[in-house]
Amino acid sequence: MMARRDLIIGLVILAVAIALPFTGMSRYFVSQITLLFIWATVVTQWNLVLGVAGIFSLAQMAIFAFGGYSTAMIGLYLEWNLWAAMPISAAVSVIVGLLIGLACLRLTGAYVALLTLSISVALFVLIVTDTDCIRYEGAVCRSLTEGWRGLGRFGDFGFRDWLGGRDYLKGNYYLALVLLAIATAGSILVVRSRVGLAFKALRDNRLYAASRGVSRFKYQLLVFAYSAFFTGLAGSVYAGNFTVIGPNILQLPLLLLLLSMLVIGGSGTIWGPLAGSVLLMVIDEILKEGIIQEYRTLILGVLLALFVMYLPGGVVGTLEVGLARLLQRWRSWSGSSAGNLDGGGEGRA
Amino acid sequence: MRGSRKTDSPVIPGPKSAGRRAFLKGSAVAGAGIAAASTGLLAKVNEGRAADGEPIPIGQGAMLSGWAAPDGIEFDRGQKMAIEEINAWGGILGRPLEQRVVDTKEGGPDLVIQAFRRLIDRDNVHAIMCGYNLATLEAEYDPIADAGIVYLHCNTSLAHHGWIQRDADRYFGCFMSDPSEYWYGGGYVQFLSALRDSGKWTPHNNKIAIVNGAQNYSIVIGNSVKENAPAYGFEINYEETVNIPISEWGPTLAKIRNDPPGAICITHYAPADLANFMLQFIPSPTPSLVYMQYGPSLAQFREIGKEAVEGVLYATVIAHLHDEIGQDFVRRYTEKWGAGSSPASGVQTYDQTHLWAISAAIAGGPGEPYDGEEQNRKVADWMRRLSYRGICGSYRFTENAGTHYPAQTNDPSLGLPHQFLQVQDYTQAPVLIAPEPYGVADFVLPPWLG
Amino acid sequence: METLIQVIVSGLTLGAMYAVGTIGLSLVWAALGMLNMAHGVLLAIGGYVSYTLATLWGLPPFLGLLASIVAGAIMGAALYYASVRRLNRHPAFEMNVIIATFGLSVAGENAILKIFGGYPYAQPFKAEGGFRLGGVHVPWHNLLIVGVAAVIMLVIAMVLSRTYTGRAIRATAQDREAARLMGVRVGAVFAQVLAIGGALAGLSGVLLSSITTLSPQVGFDPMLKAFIICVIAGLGNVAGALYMAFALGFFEAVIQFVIGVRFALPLMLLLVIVALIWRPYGVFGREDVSRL
Repeated sequence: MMARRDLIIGLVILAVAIALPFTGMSRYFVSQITLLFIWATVVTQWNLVLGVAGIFSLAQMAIFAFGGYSTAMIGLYLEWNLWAAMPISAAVSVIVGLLIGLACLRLTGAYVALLTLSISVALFVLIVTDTDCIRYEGAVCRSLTEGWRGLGRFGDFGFRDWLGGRDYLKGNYYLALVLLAIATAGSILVVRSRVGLAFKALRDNRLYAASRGVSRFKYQLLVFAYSAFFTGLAGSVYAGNFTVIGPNILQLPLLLLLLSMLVIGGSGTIWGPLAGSVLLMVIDEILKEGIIQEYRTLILGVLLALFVMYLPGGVVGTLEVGLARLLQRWRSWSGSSAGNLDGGGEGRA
Repeated sequence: MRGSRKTDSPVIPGPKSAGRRAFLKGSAVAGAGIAAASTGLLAKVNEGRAADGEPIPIGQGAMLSGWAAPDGIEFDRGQKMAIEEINAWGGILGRPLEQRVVDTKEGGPDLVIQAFRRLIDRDNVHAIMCGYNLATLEAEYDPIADAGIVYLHCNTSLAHHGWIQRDADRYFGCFMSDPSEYWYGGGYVQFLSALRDSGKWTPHNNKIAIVNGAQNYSIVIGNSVKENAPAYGFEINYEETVNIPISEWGPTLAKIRNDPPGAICITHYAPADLANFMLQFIPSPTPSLVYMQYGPSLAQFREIGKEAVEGVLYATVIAHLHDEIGQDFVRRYTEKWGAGSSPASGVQTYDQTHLWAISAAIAGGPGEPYDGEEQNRKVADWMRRLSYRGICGSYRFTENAGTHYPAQTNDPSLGLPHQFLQVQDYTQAPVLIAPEPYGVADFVLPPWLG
Repeated sequence: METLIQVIVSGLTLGAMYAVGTIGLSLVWAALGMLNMAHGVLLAIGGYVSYTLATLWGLPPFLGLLASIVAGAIMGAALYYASVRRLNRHPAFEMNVIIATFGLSVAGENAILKIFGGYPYAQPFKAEGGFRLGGVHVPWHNLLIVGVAAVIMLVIAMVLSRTYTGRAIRATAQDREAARLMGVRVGAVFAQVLAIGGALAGLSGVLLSSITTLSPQVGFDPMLKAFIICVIAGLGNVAGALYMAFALGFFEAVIQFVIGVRFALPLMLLLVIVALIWRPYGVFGREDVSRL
């Protein structure tokens, strides 16, 4: 029953997303929604690590950066087509994800958070201070990662040549949508499978699960590798969409904004990451209008705090708990004694 | 030989003779009003119309939050002030300007692209003026070219010339209103050499220590110092790259003190970090002339460093001059935005907006994005034809970029002067010491060298 | 020799800066198990209060310092009553409190930007002058910071071990439910700890900004370093965090001199990564024994 519900929700969202660009919306919104798809992909995958498996990893944007920078460098230095660069970037990201998973194996809680944050910050500083020239363009010195400037002119996905300067953004839009759809479908399957149950067991009680023969080693590496695959691809699409990539994707404010999407949407739930991404992108967009713009950052900050204060399980988490309670009340009222085995448990992070 | 050699770049051509006619045409028009900069001329073109027509939206992507916010806020103010003046004189052919601003936060190519797509596709802006945005990678040139509008910035980036050289027709509307950062390096070495030849400064030795900030801007300047130093008889004895922020300079200073150079060139530019450098340098100074990038132009540099920063040199290619026009601007700007505001930054977008408005008015008005490209090409043509005397000097475009005086032209009326300034009294604004004819004060030997 | 002394003095200065930046954060983390992302903005508020009183209103700098401590305590307590108290009721507290304090810190930083503008200011509270040690200039101010860090460490140790409040805090830290059953008002303990943490952050903010100068982001870098220090020392170990602060300060100064300034932070982070893999519960931490 749950699976069918997810399928219906997913198909409705997909249909709306496919139809949106045909409503005559401005190019600006097409590009903003493309970005939303990319962030939603990252947040969905982060949810598997953090919400479902309960590993407090902050390495998501580092993996994303590996995906994006790999694509950019392959395009720039090897002059490959970006489509060909995508699988390689995904592979690089999976390797990085596995290494990070290995490093975190003995750690728990905040220690994982710090280790992964350290990786992110170190990567940022190394890129930003990368100033050794490896080549010159005229008198302009170019380093391997081009430091603060970031990499550019490594090509795109070819939509500009195919669809023209006015419509090429729609090509990127559908590419990002396909990625998000596959990543989301995949993560639903993972959560609903035996693997997902193992994750839940590990998250809820590590020691008990271990004593029942659930291998933390195997599942933790699996979740890191799996989520790194799609996160790396998201980085790849990001690079191709903007045709540039810079170290600012590794900065703390963006990391925390994405974390907020996850938590506000509902960490550990299936639709929470998507709901959180949409919600925060919409709020951010509204706050860019007119006079409120002056206070955008201020209002956004206070809203984040209010959300977790009043909806601590996230929007979807709270909704599901509420629905489950309603359902239970209705059942006890109608005399049914069947317990709800699944729905209510998802509100917990 | 030494000192007379021009710094030249493999990329940027010098002034062409073809520019002469454009200059004559431009100066005839510009004669209409000097003290009020452009407004007199604009009023003439507007023929006394009031600005009551359909508004023209123009945009700005400024770093209004994040650590570059101080400058972003001034860029916003500079454009606001120019728009008010332009509208008071009848806007552009009777159509008032309306400002649209998007926050580009910490800069970076993706944030700048997002901001520009919003300005173009949602706010329908007919032109965009920015001061600088950090690390844009000129990624915003493509949305601008797609939309066919005019865009002015002060990113002070050599890479701009690469884009124009590759496809001048496509990027017709992309203007960098100041010369590139490349000239800072060559200009600095040239300045040192002139100072040495004049006998006002006798270097301890011919070594230069370079301390770069970890930003492309700083690195390009540092490299260009390195590249140009040998031609003037200098050598680099030490090079270091520092992160932002940095408050503890002990290890760096220890290395400098181990082999004291004749000159120290710091291309890192955060004012607080630079003031700290001086505070830690002064207790046991080396006999070195100290030059810093950008930071000393802010009043806070002097407030934080106090006596320790007296004698420091810095340079800028885009700031108000200290003449009658410049002083008048500073007075009006600080009256409007308060004593704590910084006209040296605000002037960038102020000049850009005026320069564009005049060109647009002469061309018969700006065009909207996409469909108005033809009209915007006319505006851009007029921008290239005019030689516009703004608050910072003369804007005359070479490859859609401001022209450097004295390296690219030896005629001060045809370029933006590479201004050298010195903090001589920490309670006062720094004084302009070069180049001629703009220099208003003499170089003073820093106290630790006297 | 002169170089060696310079590196030591620099290391000591960096260490002292890290130490004062860490104290408030580490106490709150130890006692309440909450990662206070608003720590950085508390540091900034401390710095700006002192600046407002001493520079803008012309009061003596030590009054500014006192006011910063008071303001920090008030902000800390306000943080509890406005936000943390509510969050505390939910099992996802650990995660939610990060988001909430991050949101508030973004808002706070932006409010400072709106009120004071983004330009850096000089912190008026500063000990002038210095002395020479083997040819190296040592500012009195840097010694003052080292001294303050040591005193705070002693005072916290005294409060935690000798007073009723201290015992209540330790009891809450060890087992919140048991403490509640023993009659400890856990809510009040939370408020007290956040107020003390805030007061320390206010004081630290003044001391830090007197070296780095004042800007809305002044607290960000010290906070990041403070996280590193707290975790590498082992969560809940206030004294260990301070030793670690000085160790990392020296490490950074040596790297800056020997290899280059730009490698200091990446190598420091590499050290953290290696240390955590080697000792998963922090250098001074002990493995917690979980029961089924």
